[in-house]
Amino acid sequence: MRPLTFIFATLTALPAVADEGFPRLEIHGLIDIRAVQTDDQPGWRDNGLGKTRFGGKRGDGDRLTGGLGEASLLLRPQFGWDSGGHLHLKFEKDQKSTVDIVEAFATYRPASTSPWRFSLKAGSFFPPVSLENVDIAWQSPYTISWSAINSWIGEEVRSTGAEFNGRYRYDGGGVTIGGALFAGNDPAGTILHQRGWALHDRTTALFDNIPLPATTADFRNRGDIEPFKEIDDTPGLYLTLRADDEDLGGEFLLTAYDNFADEGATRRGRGAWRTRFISSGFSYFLPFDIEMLTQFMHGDTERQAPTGNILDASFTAAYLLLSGFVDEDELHRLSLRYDWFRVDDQNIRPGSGTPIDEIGNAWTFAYTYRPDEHHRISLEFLSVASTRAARLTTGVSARQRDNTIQTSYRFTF
Amino acid sequence: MLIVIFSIGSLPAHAGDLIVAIRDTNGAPVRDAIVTVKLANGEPNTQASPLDKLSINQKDTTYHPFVSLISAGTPVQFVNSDQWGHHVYSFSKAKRFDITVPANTSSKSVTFEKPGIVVIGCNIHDRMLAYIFVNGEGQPAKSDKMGITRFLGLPAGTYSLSAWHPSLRSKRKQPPIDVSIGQEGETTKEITLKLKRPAKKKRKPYKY
Repeated sequence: MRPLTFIFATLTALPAVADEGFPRLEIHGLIDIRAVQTDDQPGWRDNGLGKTRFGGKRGDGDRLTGGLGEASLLLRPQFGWDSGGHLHLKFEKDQKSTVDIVEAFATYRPASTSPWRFSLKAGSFFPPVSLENVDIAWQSPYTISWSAINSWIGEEVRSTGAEFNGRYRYDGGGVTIGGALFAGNDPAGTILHQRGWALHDRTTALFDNIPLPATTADFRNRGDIEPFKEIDDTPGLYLTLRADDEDLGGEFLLTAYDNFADEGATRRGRGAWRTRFISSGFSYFLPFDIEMLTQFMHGDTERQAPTGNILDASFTAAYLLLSGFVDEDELHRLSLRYDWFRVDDQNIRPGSGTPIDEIGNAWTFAYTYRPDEHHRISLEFLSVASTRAARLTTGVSARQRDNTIQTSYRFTF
Repeated sequence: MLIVIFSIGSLPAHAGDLIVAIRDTNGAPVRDAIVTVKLANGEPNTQASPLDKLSINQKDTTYHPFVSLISAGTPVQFVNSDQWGHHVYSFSKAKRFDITVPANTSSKSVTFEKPGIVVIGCNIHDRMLAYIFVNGEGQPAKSDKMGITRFLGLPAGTYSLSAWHPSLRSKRKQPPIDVSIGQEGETTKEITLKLKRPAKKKRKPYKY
């Protein structure tokens, strides 16, 4: 990738630094235009209980919709030999503010001539969970819509704090152990309890909100979640273990996350949810150069409402993705993913509130054509079958199937 | 363009040429493999004389050449042709060093005294990778685009032949192959290497 390069240092202002060429700024960006054929299940963006990003209107039958899938700008400054930064800005009409931050962090990584290398990251960032979102602007090179697990990470999990990593390296691989202390993620888990899992490709920006699904047939707005609020002033913690080896052709990632929220805490009408999960991921190259990715997540979220009501759910999801290039030049990629997910009500006082149990699965099939580094054309079929009792309160049966066909054109620089 | 020339010394009267073709398990030619010939009886070989020096270029956030072959004691200079800095380092046992190379400058020379394989990285750009094969004993040559290495004018005798490549699947050394060089004429030998998946397929399109 040939970034646009700007050198801000001038010889007159900062002679010592300018000699070395710092600071330096790389600018990248992504714009994605989308056309979507969807059924009439109202999507979660429209306060519905649909599982996909683009939904329909009940009774209207299939519809063709579309628009801007994503518009992101990435600023990657290099402050010196050891330190850099990353700022991911997202532009979206439907956001609370049109321009908002997805990730913003500074890194410190001094060179090491021993097998161990230590690094530090401070700011707001995704905890390392996803093996899918390795492309620019936290996108996936495999499909348009992400797995249920990583859709949730993108939507409701972000850490504002400091992450430390120690990596033991050898030629062709290494093991990284790391962890972070973070704030600003006390409502994480709310959406899994209130709406359940979804498969989409929309990250929530730091100051944005997520609509809560309606539980009435007229789809009245029930409010929203601001997932990145600090409510109880206690930090959360996550720990990670990553191992990769070229000889084996695989990568393993284990993450344990706990936001240590006080489940009874409320601030400005926003409630804290104690959410913790264990996530594991594994990627491997199968024969015929077929790449396999799989992730598993299990966790629990709990909230004590001011009324004394306990809301508690455990959540579990997994996926298996197979992807490979059709041609020698690696321009045409086919990917197939199977997702499985469930939410189980752990409420010790059942009978109060909307039922939240859910179980479902999804098939995603995607074709991408990437003639060069800048252009990508994709076609994706997504079919999600799920049973969620809460749908009964909106006047439809609990079991629904959401089908979407999406095409996207993406320009990256 | 860098040309590596090992002087063979004066050619003895009874000498043959050895041509080694390196292939992968699919039969495709393998470039950037290092083939070393050593006299099987353990006697010292015609020693390759050290290069005066070597320079490794950095252009478009890539090291050129990807694989270099030097003798122990050769000084190496890193030349940055990019508009941005690179931080060259290695934690390989044969040579541990780090050196910053600002845009459009050349580094001071780094001398590689110990034989072995030195993996070169960049602390700013993780995907940059280069290998320096520092020769100890024996006579090495690097395979060309067609996967061919040539040893001209080898004195007649039995040699043991070994090959190395950055993408060798096993970290264990390939068992050496014995080859007899006659009084004259050409001997050809083929070596098949089991390589890891080509780097292109491993590479993610974008890495933070």
